[in-house]
Amino acid sequence: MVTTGLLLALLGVAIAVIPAGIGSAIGVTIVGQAAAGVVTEDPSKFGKTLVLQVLPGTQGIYGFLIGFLIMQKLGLIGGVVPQVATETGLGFLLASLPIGVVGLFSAVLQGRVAAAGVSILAKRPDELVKGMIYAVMVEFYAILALLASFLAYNGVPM
Amino acid sequence: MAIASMKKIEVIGHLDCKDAVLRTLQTLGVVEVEDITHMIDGCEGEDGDLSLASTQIFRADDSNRLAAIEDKISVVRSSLQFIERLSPRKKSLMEQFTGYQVPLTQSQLDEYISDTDALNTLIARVAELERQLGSLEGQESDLAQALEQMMPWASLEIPVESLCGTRHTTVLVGVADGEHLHELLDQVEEACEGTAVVTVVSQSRQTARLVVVVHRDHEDDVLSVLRSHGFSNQSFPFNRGLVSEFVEKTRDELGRVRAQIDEVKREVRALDGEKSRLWAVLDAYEIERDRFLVTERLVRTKKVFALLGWSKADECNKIEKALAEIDDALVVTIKDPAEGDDPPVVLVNNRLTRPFEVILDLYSLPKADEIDPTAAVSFFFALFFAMAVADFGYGVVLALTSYVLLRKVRMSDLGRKTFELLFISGVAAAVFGLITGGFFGASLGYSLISPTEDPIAFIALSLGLGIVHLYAGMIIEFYDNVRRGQVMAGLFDQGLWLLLLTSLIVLGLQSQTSINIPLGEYAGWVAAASAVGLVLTQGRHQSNLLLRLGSGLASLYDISGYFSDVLSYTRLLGLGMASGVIATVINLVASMFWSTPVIGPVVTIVIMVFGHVFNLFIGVIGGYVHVSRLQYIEFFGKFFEGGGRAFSPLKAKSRYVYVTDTQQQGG
Repeated sequence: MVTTGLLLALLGVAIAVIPAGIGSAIGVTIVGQAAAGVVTEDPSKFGKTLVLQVLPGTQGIYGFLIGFLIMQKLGLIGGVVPQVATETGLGFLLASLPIGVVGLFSAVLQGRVAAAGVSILAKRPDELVKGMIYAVMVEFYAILALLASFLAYNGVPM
Repeated sequence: MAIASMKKIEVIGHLDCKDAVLRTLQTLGVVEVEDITHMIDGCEGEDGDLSLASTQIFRADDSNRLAAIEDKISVVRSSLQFIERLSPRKKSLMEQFTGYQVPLTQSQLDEYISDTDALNTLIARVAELERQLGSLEGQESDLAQALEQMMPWASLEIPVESLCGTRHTTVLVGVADGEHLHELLDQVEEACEGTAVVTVVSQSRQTARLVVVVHRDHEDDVLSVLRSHGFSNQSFPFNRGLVSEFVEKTRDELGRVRAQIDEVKREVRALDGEKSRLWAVLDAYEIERDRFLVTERLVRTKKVFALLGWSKADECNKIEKALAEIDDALVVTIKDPAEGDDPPVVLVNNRLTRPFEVILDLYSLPKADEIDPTAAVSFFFALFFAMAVADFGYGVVLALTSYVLLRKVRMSDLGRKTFELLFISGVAAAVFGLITGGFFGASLGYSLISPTEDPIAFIALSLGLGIVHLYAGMIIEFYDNVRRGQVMAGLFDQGLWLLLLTSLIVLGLQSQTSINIPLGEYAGWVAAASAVGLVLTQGRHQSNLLLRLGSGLASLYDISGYFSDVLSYTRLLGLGMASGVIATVINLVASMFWSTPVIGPVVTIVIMVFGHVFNLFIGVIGGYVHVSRLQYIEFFGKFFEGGGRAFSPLKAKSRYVYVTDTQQQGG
């Protein structure tokens, strides 16, 4: 028997995974495009551009992480349809909001900063780490959202 | 640990010794030559004007020799680029980070540099090949273009010399718009009243190639119809014979030229082995150029030159001795830096802390009179990095990988320091992994504190260590203030804040937990007193009493800054948890395949290997950058000024080659 609670919890999984994943996909795209331009000029910078490109990819991982944890706590991974109270499901839904929403925006914005970092790489390859630091400034807010989601998830009783 | 104490070196000597002095200094590689030409601005005369006063001072430039060596460099460089273009060296992914130098034995290197005949022959040979290739490629493109133009005419069965008309007819040969060909044919038919024959030689969507034979009386009518269809005359790049014959001939010719091009390219590729000769010579030339460039920083009179340099204090004896061997008449003076001097900065650290200098290099060096924070940075960087990775397996893999790379791969100084840093941090992560009990996402069977199993305790640990980090920064600044004799500034700016923050923490702990803190009952009083102290002292730069109190009150707002600083350390939990949970997920997904017959275990292992390598990669990048940020923003913000000038001595720096069979020299 599929309960409303289970459906709400699954909606929570979707809200954690989907926007953060979309945000990361966009962010990684933005950096990838900028990087391809630099590599056209100097193919030997490929490795370094890769380092910048993975940075906006983490939000998608964070979103997936919360989604996965919820599924695990629900017992879905085991393959048995679990019984979930409506309040519990709603709790999971709300817990996934921070990483879903913040993940979406921060990944896109971080992608832009990292793309600007790629232009540092084009002109002054030795200063790569500075570009990375700028991008990581944005990432911190995704980490805070991840922590908020995680702590809330942790607090939802099964 | 510290900033090396620097000495100022003045050298004055006869111009004849100038080259020998610079050569010696370059070989020693421990003296930075300072530009002193600005000192003579205004008293500089027309160069070469010897009628001026005998004390006339000039820049000791070497522009002729500099220009000559730059020419040589550009010739060698362009030869290299030409060979490299046709016979490139593929850089491995690793070399993109570490750089690449050509390995040579000492005897090879000597042979390359001394054998100028071989070099000149090689350069002439490369230039000749480059010229040949250019001319062949020109021919190739002409032939290819002619071929492309004539191909559509190949089916024309009239020799071109016959396309010239008769007494009564004109022959029009050309290209017209192919899209409305039927229309064109009808209109021509109409205009010529049956006196024209149109042959369509070939037709594509855009163009039709036509041969029109028309009676001279109707030539103009037909031509205007053709023009309205975009007709333009076609000329042929040959005078006799069929187009198809020409096409055949051109094709043969093209094949021949292309074979020649391949031959030339093969010859260039055969020179691939000579690249190391060119690299070696280029290296030697650039070292010479560096010396001429430094000459521009010296001043001279007609007979005498003067040089000002900086060196580490413990190298001075060596320098004096080496210079004394050149000429007794050299005047070498060694001095302490004076007020207003800006000595370059060299950090002196031990084996364990030296790698962490890269963290400073990427931010800024301390000023010459500041405290070198490398030791503190080393400790906290390794600690926080360990917390961000927090897995015994990952730590071991990182340390081992770094160790192997350091052993097997030749790296630049920066690359070596970075991997040494990762090695130390990897060891720290492994040790911390023993505490968290994490092992590639699985558990070692126990856990003293873990980001995934007890996040609340881990967050408390992160915040607590964050506070220790910030306190360390404030204490360094306190010490620095005292060291400079500004005891009051130290007591007011750091001491009072330390008191206030500590008492607030104690108050917070007492109200939220049941921990019993000795002397805790006085915390409230201490907090109030230090807050009042801050209000009274933080505005002391203001002369107006009201403004002074205002500034003091406003300074209490800094408490929010400290609060956000501490909060920033929660990222350690975020990173540790993300890395830990992803590792668990990898294991879980991988284990789902385990029971599938035959391929199951293979898939499981592949997923685990790739998954963990990826997760470690992300974790190391994230850890490195986030932990660097904690140093730069939170830690350095408390005390570090920065802006020191890096020491860049004149030295014989090999950029492209290295010698394999001499023992490594220190430094």
